[in-house]
Amino acid sequence: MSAVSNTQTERRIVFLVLLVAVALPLIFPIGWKTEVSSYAKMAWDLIETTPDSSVVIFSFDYDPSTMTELQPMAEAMLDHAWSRNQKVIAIALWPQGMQMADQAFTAALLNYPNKKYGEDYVSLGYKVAGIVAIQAMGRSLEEVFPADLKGTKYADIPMLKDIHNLKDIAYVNSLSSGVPGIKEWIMGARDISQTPVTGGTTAVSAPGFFPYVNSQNQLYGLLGGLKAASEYETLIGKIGSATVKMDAQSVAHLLILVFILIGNIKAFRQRKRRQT
Amino acid sequence: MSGFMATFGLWLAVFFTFSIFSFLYKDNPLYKLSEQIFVGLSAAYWLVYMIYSILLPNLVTKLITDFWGNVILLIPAALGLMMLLRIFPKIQWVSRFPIAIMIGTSAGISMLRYTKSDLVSQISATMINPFAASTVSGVIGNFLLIIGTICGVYFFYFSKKQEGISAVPSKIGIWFLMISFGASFGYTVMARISLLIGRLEFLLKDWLHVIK
Amino acid sequence: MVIACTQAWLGSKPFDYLFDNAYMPLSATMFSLLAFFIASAAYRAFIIRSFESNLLMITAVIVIIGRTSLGGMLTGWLPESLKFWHLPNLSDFIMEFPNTAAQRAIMISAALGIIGSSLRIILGIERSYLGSDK
Repeated sequence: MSAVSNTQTERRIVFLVLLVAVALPLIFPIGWKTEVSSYAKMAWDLIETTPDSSVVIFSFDYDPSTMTELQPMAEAMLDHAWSRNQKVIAIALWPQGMQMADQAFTAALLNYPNKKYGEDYVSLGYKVAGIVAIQAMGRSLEEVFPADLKGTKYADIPMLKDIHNLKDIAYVNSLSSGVPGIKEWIMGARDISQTPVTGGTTAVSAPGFFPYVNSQNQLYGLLGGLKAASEYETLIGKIGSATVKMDAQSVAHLLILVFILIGNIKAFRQRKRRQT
Repeated sequence: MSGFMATFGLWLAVFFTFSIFSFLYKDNPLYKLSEQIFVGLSAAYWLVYMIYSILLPNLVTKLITDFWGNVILLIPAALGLMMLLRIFPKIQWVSRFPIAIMIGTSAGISMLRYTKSDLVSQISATMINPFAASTVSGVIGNFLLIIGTICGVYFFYFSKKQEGISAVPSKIGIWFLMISFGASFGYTVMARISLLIGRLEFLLKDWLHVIK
Repeated sequence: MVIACTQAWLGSKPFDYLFDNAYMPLSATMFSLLAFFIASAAYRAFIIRSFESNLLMITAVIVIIGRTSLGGMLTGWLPESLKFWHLPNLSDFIMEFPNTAAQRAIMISAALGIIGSSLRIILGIERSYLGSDK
């Protein structure tokens, strides 16, 4: 009985220490600098080198459960695309993605109040069926999205005048937290229509996507988790929501290492005691 | 939106946040209530989204505005209805037809797409000149990439018992997998902490206004 | 009239009111609980036992510390010739080569499995999805 309650108490102490360790750096920021990884730089390079007035797709393939990680990426990449005067088509392969897109546009419009709906950006909405829908976009975007979210016909949207299928898109940026997401865009857009694909994903999914960043250019860079979002903010020279959270992230990581160390010392002692 | 409703909404969000966090101390009725509301809301959201984002724009609106131009849509509509017949035990066999079409389509698409993206392209990306890298660490890395991929694939070959000398590549494959799982654990820690930071930021910023 | 009143109370999209103030906090908080459980798991289950578990542990530690601002500061003083051992660089190296190799092996093996089962379905050998075991 006492062993059980000891374990319970230990667990609660771990929880409490973690809560405090994350909260304190948020209240009292330390200001540690973020170093940029090659994967974030590759994604930045793609957007940076895409010519002015190109039409690009931002696919919002996530929902609120992972918005802490993906929303800062979406906002930073949208900011970068608009700073390069690119025209953004927002779509979603996840039902709640369009609400995430709305929030990203609202945030980016604060810095770019002159951007006009229909001329600089458009929300085409959510589309079911993942890779099947993407393959269909490779044939005709208008067939998949006959109208935008406001009900305006595809043909009447000024920025889409010369955009017929994925081949006319400069790049696809998928912000994804699962299926369908980046993998489907690689399979359906990059490997069929040769449209460059870049994107951001949750840290949990990131290790599984690194093989696509290869000599075949299946994926141009990858942002994995909040750290990568803060790297992107560093690259565009803005202190965004990811950067301010990195101190808390660093302290929490350090704490996890301390927990691993204490756990191992405890296990080592128990093993010794059993042997003697 | 009225000021009262905005404030009420904020407090509602705070209430749900604390109710769920309370599970960390002990399972309790407040957590259970929030959990049930979450399940109910999710189900309702999916239903509403399915109707308004899929069914209405892709089927109903098209049929109402131009029936004869979209008459082909009656086929997927019929297949959808056949799928719903699963709820009647006597005629649930009818649902096998749409299921067969779905599985057949998925099998066809998967076979083509996985062959190109996850098999051929990945093998091509592994067939690199290891000495092409400009740095020593790059050359070592390229060798690791080639050896790790081959040994990893070999580890997943279960048709023949691996023993003696033939077990060596398999063992090396396991080492690479362990390194990858360690890296994945590191990334998972990062992801989970990020989500917690997001919630604490909400409490400290939007609710308590302690941080800007 | 009813719609106008609802919109005055809950904003132009009343549907979003529940999304913003109930669904979003519930969903995000539910997932954030995992941070506590992973901390508890790190303390209780992440124990060195064998060579393989050592490999897993060392990689995890490098990645955990290397993917933070703190990791960059800890080894930022290293001279140019030793930059490979700079924690963020080391973490990137692990992700770019050994991790990619293992993930690619999983990817290729899974692709072979998917192609195999797709062929079985297309040729009619696999019919269990219809509720029959033949």
